[in-house]
Amino acid sequence: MTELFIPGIISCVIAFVVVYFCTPPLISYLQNKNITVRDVNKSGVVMVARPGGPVILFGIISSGMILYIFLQSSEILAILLVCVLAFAVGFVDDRRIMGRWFKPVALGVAATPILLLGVYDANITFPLFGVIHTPIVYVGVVIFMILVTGNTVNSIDVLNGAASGFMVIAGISLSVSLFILQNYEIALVCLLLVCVSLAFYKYHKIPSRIFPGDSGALVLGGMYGAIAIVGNVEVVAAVAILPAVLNSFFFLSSVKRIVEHRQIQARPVLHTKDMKIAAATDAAAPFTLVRIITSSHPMSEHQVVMMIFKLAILSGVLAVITAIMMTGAIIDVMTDVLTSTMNGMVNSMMTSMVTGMVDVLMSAMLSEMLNVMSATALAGYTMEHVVESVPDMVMVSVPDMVIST
Amino acid sequence: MIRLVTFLLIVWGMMLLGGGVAVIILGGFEPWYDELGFVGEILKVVIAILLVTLWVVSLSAVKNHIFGGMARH
Repeated sequence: MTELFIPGIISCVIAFVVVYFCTPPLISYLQNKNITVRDVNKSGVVMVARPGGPVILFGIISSGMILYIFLQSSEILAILLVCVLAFAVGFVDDRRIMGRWFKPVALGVAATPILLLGVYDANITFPLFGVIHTPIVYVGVVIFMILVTGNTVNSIDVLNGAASGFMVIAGISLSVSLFILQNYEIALVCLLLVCVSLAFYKYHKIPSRIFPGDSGALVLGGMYGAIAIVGNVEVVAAVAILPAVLNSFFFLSSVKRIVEHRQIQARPVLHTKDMKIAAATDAAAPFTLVRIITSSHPMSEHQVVMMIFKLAILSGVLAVITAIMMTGAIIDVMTDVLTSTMNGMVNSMMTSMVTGMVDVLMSAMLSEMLNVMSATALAGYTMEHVVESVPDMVMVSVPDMVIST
Repeated sequence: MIRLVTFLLIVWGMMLLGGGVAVIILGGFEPWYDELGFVGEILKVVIAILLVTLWVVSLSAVKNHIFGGMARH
């Protein structure tokens, strides 16, 4: 692990510095070229530069290549290739309005580097219960994972700083989980994701100066999914981004089809006069995470984002607990506790049973002896007569018994 | 928010339990699937799809129960 320390530090610093210092020139460039979109959660017309995907990809590739030079790992290469393909899908979607099936299908294609380089283990590990070996099912899992993570991160990118901040929290919890599971190389790659997201958050947080766009969100989500597959932590990764996954689930279960956000007629949230976000009362409006959060009362954009971050922290903690469960440490502790409890119970039961048996036996023997003695006394016989009249007297010996306490 | 956190915890529990069921059904009969060869692998795929469908349907029912009318469409 110590040999990974220097490459890890260098690549993380490069990831952060590249994004931190390259984003302002990109913002200026996009504003000069008038490549901006309106921030709908602000009063008045506030135009924000978009997309920030190129700088996110540049940060990941530059730092990832440094890590690849040090470690020469095909897993890192596969993750970087997935990022490039996910960026291409997102960039096309940023520049042109594509069909509703474009992103899901194209993101599935973005998973091909993992399959072609064979950098996956066809075992799905579930905490507490064990492993499933499914070579054919796992190919579907690889494609599905990239598709889901990419789209869910994109779906949560509706408020200033939500996607990048969410990825910082989810990335940290996944890194910790990978360290717990002793998968150090992939944990370092996950730290690159954290550093890139953190540097981008500086410009993406409220009030945003740049939006990541589809290209940025899909790169972050695609990289996260690739790390989950290559690191063999699919379940942990899914738990860490549970709020985003649930957001997509809520949305899909309410609209009941794959649809682009621009095609939605009824909006899930509305704006009050003071630009607070309120849940829509229209029954036909899609059911989303932001709508649930604002269902009790209208909130400012900052408050909603903080709520999402709190949920991300909770799911991050659950992900780390899941990772600990996967190590088997909890199973060992539970086994020890159960064994000692059972031992104690068995010992006390055996002790009471043996004591009871001895008591019963002794009292029966004594009563029998007393009966015999009283009968002989009444008949006027002595003990010598008794012994002579019963020559076949059976001598019963009680075996030695060990009573453990 | 409390309902959301409750739902999050339930989903986490369902993930763990669902994983357990999958391990028992798909992993517990591994030699039997291996004996069937390719048919066994296809059977695994079909069972996996059924399990995921059942899990999603259960999740949807829990969602409707927790969030009530707002979640029903």
